[in-house]
Amino acid sequence: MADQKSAMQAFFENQTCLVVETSKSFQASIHQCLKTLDLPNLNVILISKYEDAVKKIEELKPRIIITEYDLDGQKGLALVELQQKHFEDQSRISIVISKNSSDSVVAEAAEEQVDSFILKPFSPDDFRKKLVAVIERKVNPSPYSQKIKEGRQAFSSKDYEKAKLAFTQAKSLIDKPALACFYMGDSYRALTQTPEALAEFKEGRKYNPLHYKCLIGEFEILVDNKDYNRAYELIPILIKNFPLTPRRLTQVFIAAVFSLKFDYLPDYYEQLLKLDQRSPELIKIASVALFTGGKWYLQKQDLKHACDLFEKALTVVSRDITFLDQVIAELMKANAKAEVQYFFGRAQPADIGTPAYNRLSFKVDEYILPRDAMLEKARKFAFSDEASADNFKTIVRMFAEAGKIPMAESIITKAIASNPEIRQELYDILKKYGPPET
Amino acid sequence: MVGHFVFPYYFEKRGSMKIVSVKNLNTNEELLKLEKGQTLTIVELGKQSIIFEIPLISQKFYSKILLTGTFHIKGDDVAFQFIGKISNSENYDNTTRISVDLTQYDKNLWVQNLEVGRDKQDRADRIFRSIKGEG
Repeated sequence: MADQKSAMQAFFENQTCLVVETSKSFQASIHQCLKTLDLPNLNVILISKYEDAVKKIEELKPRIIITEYDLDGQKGLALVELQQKHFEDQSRISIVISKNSSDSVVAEAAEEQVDSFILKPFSPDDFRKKLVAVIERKVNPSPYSQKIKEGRQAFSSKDYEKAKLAFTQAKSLIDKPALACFYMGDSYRALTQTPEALAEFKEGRKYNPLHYKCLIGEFEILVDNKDYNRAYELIPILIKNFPLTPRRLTQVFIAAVFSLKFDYLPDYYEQLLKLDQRSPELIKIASVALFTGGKWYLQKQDLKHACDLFEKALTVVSRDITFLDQVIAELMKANAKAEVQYFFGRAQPADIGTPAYNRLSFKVDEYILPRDAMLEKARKFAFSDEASADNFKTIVRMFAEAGKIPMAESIITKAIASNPEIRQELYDILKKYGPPET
Repeated sequence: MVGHFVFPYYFEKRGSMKIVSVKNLNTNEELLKLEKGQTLTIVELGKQSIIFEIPLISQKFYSKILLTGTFHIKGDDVAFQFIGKISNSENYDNTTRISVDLTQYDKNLWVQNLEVGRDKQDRADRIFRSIKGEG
């Protein structure tokens, strides 16, 4: 016990602990917990702002970081990544605290090199116990953990042969060394020996079929190899057993599109809705995947499923008018008149009356209304300063087909004032669709 | 000073305590007017204690108070009235951190409240361990 205490004190001797927490009350609680550990030479720094924490990490290289997950919109996990530059995993401690207990947030922290995740509000006793457990793991690692540590140190130094040797030794120390297999696989991956890496991940899953790191390793290699069908087979295992982080869900959407497996897109969409935070990349990928799925169902003439995915895609992008325009264009191609009208009605109230909305409105009217009823609308729209180049092409064609050549010509004059690049194209349309020259 | 605190309690994924009013029982005076949806932060929950913060600078409190509110436990809102003594109050920036020792309260209900928090931590720990895959 005394040895353990001295080992703990040696671990913290003249080290810095950075507590990054926006609430001063929580800072006080954490500080109080640290005081109870009796580490007289530990320098505790309390910080409220992410930017200040970044500076302190560079300046003081804290061995211990205790950070809130959400620092006024910035991620505490990014601070853990910064700390990693200065210390390898076994010689540093990082703890994330959060009031958010959603599974994906916990999973995100676990995927990073975080040692513990503590929910708020906490009891001082529980906090202290968790901290002590982490410290004990660091100070007194098992022989297996020690070998993993050696291997990871060598891996960090890019000495992959030495890393592999340490992981091989680690594999002999316990019955089910799935983690050692993962790191061995990771070493092979760093050496671009992907078949060997894949074999290690699979071996890890023999010991533990649901070993997350091995599953993800396997999934990522298959995605990197563009073997989307096999990658896709792992998705149900991941989704059933683990919460998905935004990063993983992005990969899932990509794999679904590239393997043309759209049946489960609604399930992935549900996962997306469960996330508290959606990165711009995830929103983009998810919307494109759902849109692509919708187009795929349109090709199969399955309008119901197509519209379901289009609706979901639009929800993901908050019914963005440009995106809505693309959806409507696809439905027009599929001659789905009722659905075109339905989706046009889904435009955001805030978009109504904007140039983008008016252009789309014109497109929909032109598609829905009889030609005679459209000519006057078309003329007005052409002179409204809101028509796009594509709109002008449609309008010129309409007037040419109706034999109203002077009006078509005046619209061309109007069009080329703002879109000179389509001048020739408009005259070609006039020639093609107008009455034959005599 | 005697205070009367109302705590509608939310144990969803952001399940921390939600306080909608802070009232002095003696004077029946609202000590803190919260906007609809505004919440106070619960900092610590102990076996017989609670620490929370209010978003204003206040004078030092050392008094007996009545806490009134609800816990959200297993899908139900459960009302409570607890009496406690403010053991400490500290000002930080624009907030006051208030520590309360509970003296007269429904012990079973409080234990259930703590268990809800512990269950959530257990679940988080299970997810954390399964993803770390230490084996």
